[in-house]
Amino acid sequence: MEERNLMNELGRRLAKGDEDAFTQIVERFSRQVFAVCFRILRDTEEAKDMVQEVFTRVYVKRKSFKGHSSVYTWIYRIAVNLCLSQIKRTRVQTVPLDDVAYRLASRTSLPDTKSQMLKDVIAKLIEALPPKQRAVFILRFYERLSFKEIAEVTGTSIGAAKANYHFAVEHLRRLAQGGEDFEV
Amino acid sequence: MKSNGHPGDEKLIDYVDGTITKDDRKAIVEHLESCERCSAYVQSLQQIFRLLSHDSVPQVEESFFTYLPQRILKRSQASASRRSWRFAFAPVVAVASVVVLLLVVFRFPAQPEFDTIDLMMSEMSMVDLIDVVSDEDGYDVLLYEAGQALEPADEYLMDETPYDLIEALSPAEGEQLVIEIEKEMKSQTSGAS
Ligand SMILES: [Zn+2]
Repeated sequence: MEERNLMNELGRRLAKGDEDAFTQIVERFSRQVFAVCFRILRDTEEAKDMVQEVFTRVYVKRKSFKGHSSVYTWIYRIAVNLCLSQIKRTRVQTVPLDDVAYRLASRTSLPDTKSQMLKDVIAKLIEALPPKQRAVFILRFYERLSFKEIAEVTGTSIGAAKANYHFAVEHLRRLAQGGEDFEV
Repeated sequence: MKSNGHPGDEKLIDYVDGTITKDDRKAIVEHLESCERCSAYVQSLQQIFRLLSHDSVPQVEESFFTYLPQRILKRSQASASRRSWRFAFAPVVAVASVVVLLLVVFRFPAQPEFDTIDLMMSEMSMVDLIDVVSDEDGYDVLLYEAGQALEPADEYLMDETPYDLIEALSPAEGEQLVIEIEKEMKSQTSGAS
């Protein structure tokens, strides 16, 4: 059976309170949820705590999962909502944008893929996005979700999800170019 | 094509992203051959996509994921028994939740998000409510609904559950709450008989 179908079957069993289905869902999906949480929060320990929190909520609310959305988008939704409220609560200062642009602009070529510098630059770029754009970008770019799925996860329209993605990409592009504009 | 002859930046992003119709794709490829501005834009997009594709997620010890289901089941069961210990019986907790919610509603009366709770309160007597919440499933659903109803306007899920709200009360406030609930329950029962 295809992974998605299998997950949705597990979702139906979960909604009936099946603990074994819950265990299987965690086993299959927790690494992916960790990746999303890490990319939004940019902190390993925080992301680990978050994964535990996400699946605790999945378990507690298992019987309210109605199955009209897929179990994937339902769990992504819980993860994204929790991460975004965590950011709201804990991150007061946003990353100074000039710094990212400066560091990128001062280089003539892309840094070595293995270097810490590259990691820092990517982290700074992604952290520079407003939280909602950040979540949409991560779901699209790294998780390869469709805009319909992203709309389900973020509770917006498909149009709004697309617009958020476009804004995010343009935002990242400008930062990486050091603010270079393309006049039409 | 836009009126200025360029496809538009959104279309170019979709082109690099690979989410574009065959016809649009053909038109863009043709346009890029002759337009310096758009091909430079596409190049800058490809560059940032390439950079971001190198983002790696840190390695986490495998045991973290292996024992995750067990840890969660244990934790949830522990908190369930803590719940039943904290107040001797579930209905009181549930009614307390509703009362706390009402207090919250009262504090922010203008928010339209509280429709669900209003609806619940208008269609259910206190006695019905106790019936619903003495059932474990009913209680879960109620909590879920309450959480949904409390969802703030900016679309993020409210982080606190009614449990958290109750736990945030001081002992004196908690006691006062229980007295008020008991009063309410007594008046409901005497009204029903
Ligand atoms: Zn052009």
